[in-house]
Amino acid sequence: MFFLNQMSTILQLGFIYAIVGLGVFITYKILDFPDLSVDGTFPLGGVVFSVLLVAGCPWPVAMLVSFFAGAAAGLATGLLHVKLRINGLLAGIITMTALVSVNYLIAGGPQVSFAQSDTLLSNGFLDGLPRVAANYMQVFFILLLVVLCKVLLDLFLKTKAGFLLRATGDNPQLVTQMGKNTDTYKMIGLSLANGIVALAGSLYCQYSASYNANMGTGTVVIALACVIIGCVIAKHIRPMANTTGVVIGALIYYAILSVAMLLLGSDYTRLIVAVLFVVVLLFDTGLIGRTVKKLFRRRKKEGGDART
Amino acid sequence: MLELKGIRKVFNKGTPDENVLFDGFDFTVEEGEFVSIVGSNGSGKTTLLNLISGTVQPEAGKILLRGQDITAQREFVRARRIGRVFQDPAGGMANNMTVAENLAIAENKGRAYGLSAGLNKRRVEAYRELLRPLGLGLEMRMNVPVGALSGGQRQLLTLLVATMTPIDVLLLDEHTAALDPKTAEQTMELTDRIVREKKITTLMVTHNLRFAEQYGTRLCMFDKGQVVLDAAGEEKAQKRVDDLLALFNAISVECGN
Repeated sequence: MFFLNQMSTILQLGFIYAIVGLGVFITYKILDFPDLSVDGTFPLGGVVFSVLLVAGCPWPVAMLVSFFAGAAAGLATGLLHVKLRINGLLAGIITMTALVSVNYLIAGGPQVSFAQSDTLLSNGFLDGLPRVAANYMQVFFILLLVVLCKVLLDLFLKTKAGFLLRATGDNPQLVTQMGKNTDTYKMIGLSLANGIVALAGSLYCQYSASYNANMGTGTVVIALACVIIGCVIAKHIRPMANTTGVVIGALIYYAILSVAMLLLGSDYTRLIVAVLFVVVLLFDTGLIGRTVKKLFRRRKKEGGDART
Repeated sequence: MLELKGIRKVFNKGTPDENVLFDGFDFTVEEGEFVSIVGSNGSGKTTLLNLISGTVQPEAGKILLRGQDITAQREFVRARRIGRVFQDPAGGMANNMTVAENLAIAENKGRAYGLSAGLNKRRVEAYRELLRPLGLGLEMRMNVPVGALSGGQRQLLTLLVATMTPIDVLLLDEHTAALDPKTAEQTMELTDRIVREKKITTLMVTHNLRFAEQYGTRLCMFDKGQVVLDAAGEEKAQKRVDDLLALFNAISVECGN
């Protein structure tokens, strides 16, 4: 039973962060833009959703509005970067910092609770099921949303507009040569990415049946780890799409994180997140892979020596 | 057709390294001309192309294209009428995107990039037919990322991409300089064929004096922001590489190189 419960938590959070990962994939991998506003737009989505729900708004509408709130925040980062020529990293930090106050003002405090309202993850249908079955039903609902986001994103990247978005990150000169302004595509990408992240934020609040101002801390680091793991996986298993890789990466990441937290306790969460990120980055640069290979080769050689 | 009038361009303005490259510089290109431009480093060849494309802005002067003043237009706006190929084969294409995807982007130049499908089977077939005459086997590698191709293949592709839709002016910025001699030759032949077939007004900057002598309808030599040699038609036909080299050396000696 303990295992089943743990597993459902990993899947629930893994899939929620898979959606965050899909958003961050757009900025980090496609646009080559290190967007830190995510730490603010993830809770922004949560707080907008929570406040609307408490005000009596149905959950699908609240989720849609939270998407647009995130997109607007992403656009703000884009405008800071593109129009005011502020460094991308700093533009993200500015938005993220400002959103701390914005989120507080929207929530009217550090927390919003909506345990009584119907949401995607808590409604009459789920309440009628046994606890474990309800948990896995929640997993299924979140997965549906993951698939929807992934498929829509994949389709978008194959349109003409999607081609130019990819070209903007790949070689901005090509976009300029086509007579198009790269600024436009950077703003579209940042909006879309942060909209998706905010949508995931609203889902996270539904999972915990409340909004907490601290929920955003470390989102960027977690999401980047998921994206990097995902892209490494996708690179080695062709023809897997990068977006599929990101979803799998998020699950792997959350499984490892959960095990580490079980062993060390939740006081260590952020420390584990940070250390895991370093490990993932080392994997990405190939440093760990090379070291392992070297060790393996040496042992083989020693083995060979012993035989002779 | 293309006119630069009274151009002034200063680099490192307001610093001790201030360098006035162009001052009251005039340059005119007629419709359908294929101008080869040679000159030593720092003579202003590439800056001329950058001024025309809008990558750098002049301090004073006007740039007219077909009579329209484009001086204030941003680079991406001018690019709708101007095609450009750079020295670096990685410069003109999206290297993580496939050959077909790059061609699809190029083919759509001048139109809206909306939410319709970027590629379909019919288009891919059409691109195959477009690439077949190049004889590079690229028609078999439509789904390969451009970055995986050789520098020569990429440069030929960039040339196709730059001229796929109608443009008024083609700018070639030492586009054969990073290639081996054989590929450079092949690239020049394709360049010449495209320019002739599509009758595109072309400016080509090159360090290869033989290419400058052999191709094009007009030959210019630049030195310190001045045109020191300008030969077209019959006059150009009589110029030999040796003449160019002699003049080139004379300039270089003046510079103390």
